[in-house]
Amino acid sequence: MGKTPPGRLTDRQDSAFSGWIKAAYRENRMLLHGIFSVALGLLLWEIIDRWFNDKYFFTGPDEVIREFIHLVREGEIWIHLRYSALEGLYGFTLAATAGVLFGTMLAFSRTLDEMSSPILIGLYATPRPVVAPLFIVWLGLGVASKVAVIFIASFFPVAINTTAGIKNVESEFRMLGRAFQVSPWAMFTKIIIPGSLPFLIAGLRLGYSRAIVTIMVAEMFGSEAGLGYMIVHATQVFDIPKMMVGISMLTLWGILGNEALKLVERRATPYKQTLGI
Amino acid sequence: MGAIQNLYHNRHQLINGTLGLLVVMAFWYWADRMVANESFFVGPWKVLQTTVSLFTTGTIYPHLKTSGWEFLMGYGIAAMIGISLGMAFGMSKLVREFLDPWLGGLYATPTVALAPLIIIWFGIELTPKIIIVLLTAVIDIIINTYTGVINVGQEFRTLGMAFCVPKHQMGVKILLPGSLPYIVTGLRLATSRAIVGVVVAEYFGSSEGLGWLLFKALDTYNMPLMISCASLLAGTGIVLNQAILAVEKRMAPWRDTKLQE
Repeated sequence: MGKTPPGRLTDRQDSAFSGWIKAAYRENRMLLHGIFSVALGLLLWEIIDRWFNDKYFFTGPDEVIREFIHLVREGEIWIHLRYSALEGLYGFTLAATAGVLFGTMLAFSRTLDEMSSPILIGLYATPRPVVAPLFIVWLGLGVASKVAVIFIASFFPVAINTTAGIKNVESEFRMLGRAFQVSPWAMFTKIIIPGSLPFLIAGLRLGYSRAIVTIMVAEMFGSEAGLGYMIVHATQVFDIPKMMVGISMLTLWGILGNEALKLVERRATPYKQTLGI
Repeated sequence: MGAIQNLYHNRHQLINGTLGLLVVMAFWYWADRMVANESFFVGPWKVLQTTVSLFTTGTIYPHLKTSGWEFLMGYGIAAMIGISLGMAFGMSKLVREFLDPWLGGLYATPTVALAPLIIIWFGIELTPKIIIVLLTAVIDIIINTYTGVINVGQEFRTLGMAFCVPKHQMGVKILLPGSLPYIVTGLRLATSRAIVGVVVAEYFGSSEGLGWLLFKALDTYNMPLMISCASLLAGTGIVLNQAILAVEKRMAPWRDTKLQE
């Protein structure tokens, strides 16, 4: 996944006499080792499951898949998936929009930035589970309270990163714009937006990962449905396969969203060196 | 007049910051007056009173001790494992190739969702809580250490290679000090995650701790207690974050630490 770090001495000189298998192996080394490692992990998981042989304590990959199919057939999972997706979508979209707008505002007004910075920093460092019960008391057990908590969780990284991104646009680019007397609109759309994009996307990625965690946390405290609700209720009856299905769904959302945002990141800022995670 | 202008000019950050906080406090106070329902919303004064009484009556100390212990153990072990694994990722190609998918997966997993499973496996004593805190906190430390090692300047590596420094010395004498600013960033980000871990772990089975007190307050609709617990936890997060941020600024003043994530 990651880029090869500097300092690696490559050994390409023997490619003349090595067969194409060896060449193919070297080309896809990273991928092959990764697949091997994941397969090994799954095997180990199954072996541990066979060893414990107690479905109220540990469960193997096969049982999780069977439980997933069962839940899909029964249709129960759709209720939870829809509920959580709705919360996440509303919460994250609102937070991203408001965060970008607010962050942009702060970047252009020093007074406003300084006035809100202690509050922003404070709320940014506040652990999210702490605000969840408050919102449940205020807004009830439905979707609204979770949307609010998810909003709180992902708004701050987006806002802080947007402000930082705009402030970090190199001043030589701004000076260039000024020297060519571009209009403020062109300055904003052609210089400031592209320049601040890497930070903005980093903020969105962070906000997204926080949103996924918060779906779980917010539903834990009291909910009507949702993946987090499903996990907590499965725990109470020791239904481990069902629990694992819930966890896998949330993980899948995390991976898919992260990959999608990474794709956007690579498209928007091809010059940026990233770790690949 | 000139003196006041001067004062504002020199201390504008502090003055504006205080002003902002005062505005929020005033709004909070006003909102409380408007709602005037103690089981629904409480003002700053009442929260302060509740918090002070928690300390004067001494009811808070066992909870502080339990949560603090969970936090310290989990976070400490996470720091040790995280830095070692991060170094391994940065230094060994084999480790990178084999463990990268797992790192990516762990990064994307909401680790708090694993909490119920860990409670089932390890019971409701201290151990599962430490493991939950460890799991939530470790990923930030691994990723930041890894990034740090990769970002150590090529010239330092070349220097080490030129002097035929053995690999373990390369790690301890060149790569570890070189990536220290990143490691500290990872440690800072991990504090807030570890606090999330403490609260979540206490939800799933415990009889003591700040998180437990928070849930008890929620169950009994004790709004003042709830907000003062929340403020204590949030305050801990903010203080730790700012303290480590200060260390970070000392170590790498050229980096704009606010942006690192």
